[in-house]
Amino acid sequence: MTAIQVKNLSKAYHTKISSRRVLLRLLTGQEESLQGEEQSLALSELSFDVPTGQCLGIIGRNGSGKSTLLRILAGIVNPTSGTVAVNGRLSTVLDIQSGLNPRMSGRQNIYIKGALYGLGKAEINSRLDQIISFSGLSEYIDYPIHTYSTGMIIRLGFAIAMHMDFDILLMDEILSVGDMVFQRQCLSRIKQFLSEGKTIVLATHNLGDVSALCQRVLFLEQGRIRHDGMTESVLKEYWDICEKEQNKIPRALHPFNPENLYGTDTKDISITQVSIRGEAGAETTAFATGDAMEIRIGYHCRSPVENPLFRVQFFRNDGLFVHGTNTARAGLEVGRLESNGEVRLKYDTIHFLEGDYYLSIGIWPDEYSSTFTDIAYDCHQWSYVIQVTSKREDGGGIISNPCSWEVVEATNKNR
Amino acid sequence: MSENLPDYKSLKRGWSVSLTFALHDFQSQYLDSILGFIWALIKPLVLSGVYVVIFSSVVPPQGEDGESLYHFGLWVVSGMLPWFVIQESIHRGTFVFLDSAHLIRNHQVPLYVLPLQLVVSATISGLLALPVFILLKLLLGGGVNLSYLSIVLIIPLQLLFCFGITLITSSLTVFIRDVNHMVIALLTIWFFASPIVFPLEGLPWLLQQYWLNPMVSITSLYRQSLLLGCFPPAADWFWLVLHVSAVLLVGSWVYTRVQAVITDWV
Repeated sequence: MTAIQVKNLSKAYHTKISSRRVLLRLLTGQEESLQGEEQSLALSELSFDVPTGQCLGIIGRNGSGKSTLLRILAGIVNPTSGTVAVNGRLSTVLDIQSGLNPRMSGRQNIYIKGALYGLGKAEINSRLDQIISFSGLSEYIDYPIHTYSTGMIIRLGFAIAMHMDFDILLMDEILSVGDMVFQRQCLSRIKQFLSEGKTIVLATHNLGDVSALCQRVLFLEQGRIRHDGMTESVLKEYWDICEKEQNKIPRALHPFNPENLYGTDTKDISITQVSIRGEAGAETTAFATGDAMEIRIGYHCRSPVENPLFRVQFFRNDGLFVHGTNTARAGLEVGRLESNGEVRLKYDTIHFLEGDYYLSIGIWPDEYSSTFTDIAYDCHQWSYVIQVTSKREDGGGIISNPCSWEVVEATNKNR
Repeated sequence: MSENLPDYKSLKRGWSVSLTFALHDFQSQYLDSILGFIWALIKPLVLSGVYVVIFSSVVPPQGEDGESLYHFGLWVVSGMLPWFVIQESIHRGTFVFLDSAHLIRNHQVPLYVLPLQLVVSATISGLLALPVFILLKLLLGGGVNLSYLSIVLIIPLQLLFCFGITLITSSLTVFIRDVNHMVIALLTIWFFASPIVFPLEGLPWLLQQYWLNPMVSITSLYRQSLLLGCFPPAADWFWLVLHVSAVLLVGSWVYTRVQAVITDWV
């Protein structure tokens, strides 16, 4: 059974033609002549089917057409060409707050919003208690909703949306609202829908929701389907692309670029040069999981320094601290440094999985100041990057732990 | 374009959604006020009272026995009854798609519901003014007549008339914002070109014509049934039904032509 069937769907918005001329053409029945006008394609030639009972995720960067696609599926926006066939009752949650009257009570708003979803008074009455208890608003339900916090309004809106009759539910970026408890409540409600065989289409930026709920993901890019496949493979491609885009952001604008954090640099000893070397000892930034790596940190002392600490840290591009080590922890007594030299950090194998990793390299007086203060001799924060590629066998996540699988079948087969 | 016309089932749903919205719209106008919806009665009462006082010195036409046929103030008020509903419907309805942009971009509601709910809400206000009018008439020595029942037919016609016009103006305003301002100006002209404050005979010949100005038949229907206590003549009904059909026809034609792209342009 197919719940939604989309064929050659395109949506164009007219950008140059004035609304007066559009009106004139519409009233004189010359819609076709509008095709020739300059237009921007929000969606172009999309075709896909959603089988009944599937949870389809739609991901893509801002402006990729996710919301337009959902609005067309919902019948709110009309496609420019192509067809959408929907098999079953449809409900949409595109925006929680629209349609609510702030001066009316939560209870009255349940009826208003319910009417928007096509439910009459009797149908609302029969599920009023469920909605109120799901929202968790208890006695506040009879207060006007302009007295509510944002979270309470969202909980009310969501509670209403979750209690409508539907076979197919379309949702746009709304799961990531509310507090953790409520989010979990919503997720379990959605899982319940899925177990009842309902079809759900979910557009979101929250890859966590996608991987938790969806079997299949549609990756939109500039109004086209870039990838349509199993969740894991599509998410990986999306992640890669976002990462590449992020690398294009100038370093100065990078959110995790606190290069001047350590303004109190004492300059007794400073980093002269850092080189990252691969297997053969040649300088490189491209590695594969399991490769060897060596980091050479050149230093220069202006005055003698007693037992400084050298530290190397690796971060993922979203700021996650992945790995770090320093000379003190490793038990290396650096001793008194007086002139120039080099400190070398060697990895026989690196266990990073595919992705870009940013390095922070610094020289500190001691472990205490490296951990709790900003007082470094010198520190290059997020200043180097390595690109790691990995194979499917290395596993998923951010690190690879060498491992093996084994199946042990019980010998007694007469269970 | 026939495939764009809604079927009976979706019309029924549209009507019930409009009704729910209209009731809430009406309710929300009087929320948080101490007297609540009693204001909906006080407003017409004050207005009618003022007209009755102002025009009490105007001598209305007299019957053969030398007695006044009606109080002139009441005569004006009876013309105001439909006018307020029509004016409020058009005034609020014209900009409704742009005002509700957020709503129609996020909910799957038939678009015509939005002007319709405002028309229904205005009609509810208009209905509440009727008992006030009858009360005033009783106080001024009038009686209760069977002809009041005509209102049961007049109200639905008046509602459809307002809906037809609002459908046209609201659809056009999405594309030409000037329509909104134009409509407000035209409403003022229409008021003085209609037999509301001035008797029909006082208007220029052209404006007296039934076929040109729907307000001629509407005010006549109200006055015949509520003020004079007689069942309105067939001509009044005929012209009103004709005008209602005309605006509904034009309204639904304009609406079906443009409704597919309204969401793109709000």
